[in-house]
Amino acid sequence: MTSEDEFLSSSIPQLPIVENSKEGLASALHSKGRDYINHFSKIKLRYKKLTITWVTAISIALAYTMSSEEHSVHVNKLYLISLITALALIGIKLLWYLDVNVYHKQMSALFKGLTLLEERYPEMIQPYLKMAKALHKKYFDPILIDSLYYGVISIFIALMGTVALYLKFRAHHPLSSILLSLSIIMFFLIFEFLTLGYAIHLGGSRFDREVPSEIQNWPKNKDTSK
Amino acid sequence: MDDLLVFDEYCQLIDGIQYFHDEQTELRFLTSKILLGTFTIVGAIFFTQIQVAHVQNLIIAAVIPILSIGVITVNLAQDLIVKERLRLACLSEALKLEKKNEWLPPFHRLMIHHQSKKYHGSGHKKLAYYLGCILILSILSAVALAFTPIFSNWISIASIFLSYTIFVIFYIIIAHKLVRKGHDILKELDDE
Repeated sequence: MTSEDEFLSSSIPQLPIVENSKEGLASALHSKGRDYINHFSKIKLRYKKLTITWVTAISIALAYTMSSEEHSVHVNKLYLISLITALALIGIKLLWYLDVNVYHKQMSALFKGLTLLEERYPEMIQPYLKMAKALHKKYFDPILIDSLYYGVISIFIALMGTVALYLKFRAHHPLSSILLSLSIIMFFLIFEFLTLGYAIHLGGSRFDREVPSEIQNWPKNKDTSK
Repeated sequence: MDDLLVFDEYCQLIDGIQYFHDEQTELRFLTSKILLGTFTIVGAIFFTQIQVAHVQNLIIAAVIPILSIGVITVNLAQDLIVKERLRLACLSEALKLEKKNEWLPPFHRLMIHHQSKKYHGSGHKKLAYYLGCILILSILSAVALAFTPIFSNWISIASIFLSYTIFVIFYIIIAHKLVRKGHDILKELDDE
């Protein structure tokens, strides 16, 4: 092999070797679909890792606010604690939204597509139909675990903020500032509990979302093989 | 067209979609880092005795989030105006292939269906993330400005929060106008 051949073979993207038959193409499409799902799964995991970075940053910020006695600006520390907690909770809610409402939906669409492909070719290996059988029940969808992850972290941060506020209460603090800072955190805490409850309530109904009949009947309505 | 050729084109389009997804995710991570970085700088200004020039520290703490809003706006434009359209261009072609060749599994048709009941696509959902970041920075800036001794009476503090609220509302309206619905872009690409 000449160096030119080597360059050409290295620069041309390697395509999967596919047998030009109905089963061969189906198997290759199944493999591509699996890669596609893994791609979304990795993106979702990255958002979860970013959430942990947020938790670490907020813990440090709260610890710093608690420990420092003097600072350059004379701001009531109770307000600062409730502000940090509230902004952190909004930030985590945004990551939750992206993970569950954008990427999980795309992943579950692919999951549905792969189960349709497996139903169409029963002779092929059927990991996704088995996964659907093992995981998706009438009252359970894996999306519930995602919601629990973000919900529990949000509640943890809200509780951390409440404890920080409690430890910082001093006799000289006016009652209005105590009530205001506490009510901000309590508002978010109640909101988190409600969101989590709603996510649990929705938990079982997402996978069975109605699919248009032309897609639902893709493997059944006619012989679509070549 | 030969089925193997169709399969090859389909795989290339999926690779394209994945590539733009990765780029968009990177941009969103960058936005999150900018947000955390702004927190760090504002925190440092709040808690240290650093005196920058003759300007009050809290005014600097109010200006920094505004600068971050500018940078995040550039990220928003790159993500939801440039990359999103590039991704949708690949998606549109993949959809066309799926419709033409019925033996291809309906991955992308299902994706569009699952995204939204109204078929608006994910662009506006991703916009909510950026708008949330802008809201956080606006709150940070408004609070820093409200604590400045120059604004000591309630009327001036209320007017600060009111002007920031108006700014955020205008930002949301303009962003919604600039970021077009995925369904409209797909329709436009189909028409061509």
